[in-house]
Amino acid sequence: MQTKQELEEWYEQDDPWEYTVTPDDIYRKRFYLTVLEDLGEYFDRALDIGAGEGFITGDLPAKEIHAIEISDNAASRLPKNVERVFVPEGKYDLVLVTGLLYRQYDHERIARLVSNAASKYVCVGGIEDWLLPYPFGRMVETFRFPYREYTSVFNVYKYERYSPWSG
Amino acid sequence: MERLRLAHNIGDENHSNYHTREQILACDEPIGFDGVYRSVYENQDVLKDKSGIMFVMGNFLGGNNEFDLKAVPKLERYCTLDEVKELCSLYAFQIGWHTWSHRNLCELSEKEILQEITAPFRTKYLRYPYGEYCSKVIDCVKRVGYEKAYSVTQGVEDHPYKIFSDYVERI
Repeated sequence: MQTKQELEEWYEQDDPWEYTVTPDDIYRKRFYLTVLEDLGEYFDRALDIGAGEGFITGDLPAKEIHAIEISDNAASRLPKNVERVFVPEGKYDLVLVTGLLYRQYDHERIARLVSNAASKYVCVGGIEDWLLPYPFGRMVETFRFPYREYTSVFNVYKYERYSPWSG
Repeated sequence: MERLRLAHNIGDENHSNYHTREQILACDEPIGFDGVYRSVYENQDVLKDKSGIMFVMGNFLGGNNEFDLKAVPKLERYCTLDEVKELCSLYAFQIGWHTWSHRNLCELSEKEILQEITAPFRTKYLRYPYGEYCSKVIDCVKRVGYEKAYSVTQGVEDHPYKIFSDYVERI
């Protein structure tokens, strides 16, 4: 697992993952946002967990957008319409967690955060072979598409309270 | 295989991308609208008693056809996804996919084809950009799980992934 110091070093430069210039990531962002558009809702409150510099966060279709990001360097570059928080502040009708529910991260803690914050939809994205199967409720949609040298998945859950990590 | 007529805009321009309201009204076969252009939404009263498929392009939802200006006479807007869904809820139309960027799929890698034809919503129907398909494209279309894929005049009558579509008749 990466330490905070390692994350800060990684985020010393802008866009270290090169999301903004990589066609697969531009595609991935458009894919996510169109799926959210298809849900037909403009959300009241959205939370992006592990938002990085907010590559997707700032464009979420919500009136109020919060982001949880460990790295201060990354969080300093979040878009102006995004507020950084350190823990969920109440409930969110959209919770997004992408590229994070992997074995190499503290996935149990992240899953608990998701479950405690969600009130309506949870969207989970990531590389298919790495993504751990946390069920956040009833799966509404699942999508698979090629991403870099992997297959990426994007799962949309209608959150249900009986998830074992809520508390 | 059920026939699907092809149309783009509803308007009076003298161009293959346009059909008049009268021509749409006179069509008694299902219609596949490619785009879907805002002019279809604005003339939606002619869709009453019609059926068919609205084939949307992901990158251009709510945008315009600037990418295609060499082939069409003027700039036109496309519907937003909400507008297309509204049309599908009001009339006997289903939503289909016309790829993200409208590139010729036969010129792309397998990875790019799979990205282009993966829709961000559930649909059984794909329309090939420019009607162009090849065995590599059809293989990807099967893998993604489409039931039917429509060509234009290059298609045939009896293959679910090469379905022929002619334009709505110009009476």
